[in-house]
Amino acid sequence: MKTETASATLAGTSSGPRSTADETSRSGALPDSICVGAAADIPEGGRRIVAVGKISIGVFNVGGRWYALRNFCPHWGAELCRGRLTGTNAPAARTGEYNWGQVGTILRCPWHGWEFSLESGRAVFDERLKVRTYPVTLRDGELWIELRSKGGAQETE
Amino acid sequence: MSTYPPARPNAVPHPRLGYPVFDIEVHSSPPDRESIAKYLPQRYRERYARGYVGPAQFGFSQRGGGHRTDGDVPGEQLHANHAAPVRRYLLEPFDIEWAICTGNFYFLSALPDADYAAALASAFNNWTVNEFVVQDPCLLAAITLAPQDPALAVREIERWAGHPRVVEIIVPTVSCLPLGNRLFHPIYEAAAACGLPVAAHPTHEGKGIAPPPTAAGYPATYLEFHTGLAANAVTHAASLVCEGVFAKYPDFQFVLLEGGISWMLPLMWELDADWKRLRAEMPLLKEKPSDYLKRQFFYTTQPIEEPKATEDLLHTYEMIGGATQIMFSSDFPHWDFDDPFRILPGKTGAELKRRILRENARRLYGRKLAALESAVAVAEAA
Amino acid sequence: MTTTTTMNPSLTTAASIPTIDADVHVRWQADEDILPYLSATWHERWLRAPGGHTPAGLVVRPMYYDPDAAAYSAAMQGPGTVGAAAFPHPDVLARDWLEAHNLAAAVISCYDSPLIATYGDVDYPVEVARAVNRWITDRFLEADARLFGSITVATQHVEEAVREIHRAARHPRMVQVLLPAGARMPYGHAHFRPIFKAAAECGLAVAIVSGTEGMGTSNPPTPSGWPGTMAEMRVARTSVFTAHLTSLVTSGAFVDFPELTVLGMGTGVAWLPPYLWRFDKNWKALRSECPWLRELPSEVVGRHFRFGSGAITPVDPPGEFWRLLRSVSGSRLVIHASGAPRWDAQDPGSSFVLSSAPAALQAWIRSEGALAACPRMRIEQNQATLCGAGTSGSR
Repeated sequence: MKTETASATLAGTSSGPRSTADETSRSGALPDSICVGAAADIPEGGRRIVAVGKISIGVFNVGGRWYALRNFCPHWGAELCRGRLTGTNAPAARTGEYNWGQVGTILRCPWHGWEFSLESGRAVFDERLKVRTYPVTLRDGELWIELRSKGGAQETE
Repeated sequence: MSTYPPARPNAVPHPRLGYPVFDIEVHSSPPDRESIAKYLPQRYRERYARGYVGPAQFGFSQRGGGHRTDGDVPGEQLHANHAAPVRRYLLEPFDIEWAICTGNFYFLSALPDADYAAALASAFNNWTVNEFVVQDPCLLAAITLAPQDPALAVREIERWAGHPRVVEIIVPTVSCLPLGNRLFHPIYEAAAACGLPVAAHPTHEGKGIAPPPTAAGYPATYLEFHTGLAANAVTHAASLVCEGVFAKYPDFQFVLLEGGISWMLPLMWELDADWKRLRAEMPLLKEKPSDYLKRQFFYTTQPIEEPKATEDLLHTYEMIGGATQIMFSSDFPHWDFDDPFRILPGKTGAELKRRILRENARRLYGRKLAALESAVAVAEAA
Repeated sequence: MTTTTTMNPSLTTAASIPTIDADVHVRWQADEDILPYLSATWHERWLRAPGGHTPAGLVVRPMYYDPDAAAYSAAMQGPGTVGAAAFPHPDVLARDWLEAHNLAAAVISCYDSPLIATYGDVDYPVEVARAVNRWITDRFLEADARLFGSITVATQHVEEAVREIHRAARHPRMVQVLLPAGARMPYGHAHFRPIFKAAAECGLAVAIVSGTEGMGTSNPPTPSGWPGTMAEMRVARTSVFTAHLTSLVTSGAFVDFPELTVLGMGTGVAWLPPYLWRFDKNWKALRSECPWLRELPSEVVGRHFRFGSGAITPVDPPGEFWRLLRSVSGSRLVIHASGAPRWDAQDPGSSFVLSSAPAALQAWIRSEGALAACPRMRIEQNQATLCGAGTSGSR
């Protein structure tokens, strides 16, 4: 059941992602960055989940913005990136105040419903709780996850 | 088993236990109305086919509720309307050896028409046993009852008791009366005589002919409703013991599904103290309430309670005699699914873990397992 | 119930701490006592009682039989000894309870008045609530400065309830609003919010008192209707209170009124921690339904709820009880409140809670907790080695 090598697991794509340092991934350490395929293959509202060494990362296309985060819920280890994308009522100062927002960038864990921001990786109920996010860059139409640097969404041109 | 597609390679390897797990609660659900309608007497087919299930449609908006969405198509809800998704997303990834299909017809007790409710129960049980559990050798069946007419319910128990895959009776916790009320005793007597535990499951509290879902009236949100379900679990636990069901039927065993566990500790304190003072109104009880509860009341883990310090959870388990009474349940495919490998606190001893994840259920449902397992062994040898 | 006080060394130090009893019941001696406070329209009804039963006025006729309760007998109005339902006279209360047990003060409420909100009609309970408040002020608060009062309201008519709170609170020793646990809706619903607003504006606590579950127009005492025994009914009472607690927290009552304290009287408290474990867990998933609730429900409960010690069942060993409370940071959840003169009322010397509480909590349970919950409450200087205790509370 364990994924031995990095492989894309979604939407019928099975070509293994190229990395900047394939040999290091085999030895357990993560490469600096990893290509998850052509941006054109992930439509708006779509996502792809890739295995990188021992971890799994989800890449999301929300309205032309790209997000990547660890596919692992800090609660009980569910595959967070298979959750539903939705919005949320932002924490409010007053009763009766509903600020529906972050539409399409709130990820609800498929087990137990914790809400996470795609942008920051932080849980809505407690900002101190964070899922690792990664910058996504677009190079010649290909999507690369930057595994070494921290960060959130990258705008595409 | 090899006839099923392999489980999705899981990018997050699970810790292994070295033994398979017993899952007490899988919510099998019919794929369409016709699956049930065809088993109904002619006079009920039209009303069911048109979607009449009484007041059960009314409910709280589940902004965070629903089903697991971590299937092959992320974000899309999983359903246990066929055995294949159960195998793919539950049995294989979580090393589950036996799973009891507890269905999803918990609205039956809310229906005003007792005959229709009983007919729906029978039809649903036909589907569960004849069409669902037969799809996978690891699935067992719970027989759903509509308790409005206990005589009809007893007949339904007797209809299924001899089936090799039927291991349990299940009644909804939504009810006009606490489940210990003597109107229901014939059901318990019949189940005990057949060696079948009786489970109870919440969901439709406050609907139909039942009183409001909290004793203060209707709450406003699903958060309140879901949290408040604990009140009905406490009600039934107190009722079963105080109204003498356990004392009257020493072979009767009760399984509470999705009701929580830890509230039993203060409840035992309360009932034991009350029993000393008020035993005149509980003439059947020869021992203190907690003695019966520690023997005949069984708990399921999901949704597991999460105190800040997990030691507190284990401590309450110990205090209520949980080592022999608590059983793992996943609640597949619902949104608050629990993973058997992760929910028990890290400090859970290996022996307790093994009992909760496997042995307690094997003991409770053991009567039929032996026959089933020897049949499997014969089939594999052939 | 009779825990030996010598078991706990903290009590020797605690002896110097003044003690407030936050739940003592009083009642009129004769139904005619109330007539001067009622308009003539209602006199006949008051004297005849709804069922023609005596004693009249308001009649608590519980659905379940408790062999130890006084509600069925003349002891209800008896000469005020412990075991009756209520103290009939301030002198009796002072002699048999305050002085007998060295209490610095007591919060009193009318034994029958929670019933008022369970009546089916509207104008009568509105008037009776006002009459009871005026009577308790004249008869008890004016007679003894150690007594603090509870304002009875008819929740059937929220506008009148608000008016009555503001009127009755003109007496400086009215310290809380009394609501019955038995109700038609949970108290977080918008319908009741003006009552909580009025309480907050006047600096009053809100006490939700057990005893009327399933009575009058209130909902059945369990989500599955009426249980068969008194023992089950006692358990059910805790569940009714949880419904109000959940509703108040979820609806943001304490976001609206950050200084408000809600007291649970006669509800026990040991059931609370496991309930909060589930409430906290559910909030993490479902918080979007109530976005103004921005912290764990258990944190809100720990700040805004206090529970009277009176109906807390003794646990053996007591450490198990305190361990359970600690699991939700609940050390300040309990205050001394006996329910006297009820049959199971515990005086400070025999109280399970006081005899087992850690030394560090003694002052909180005996008086600081009640003073913090009811900001209008002050203890006379000559009784107070606890100067400033009223401001050293949780907030």
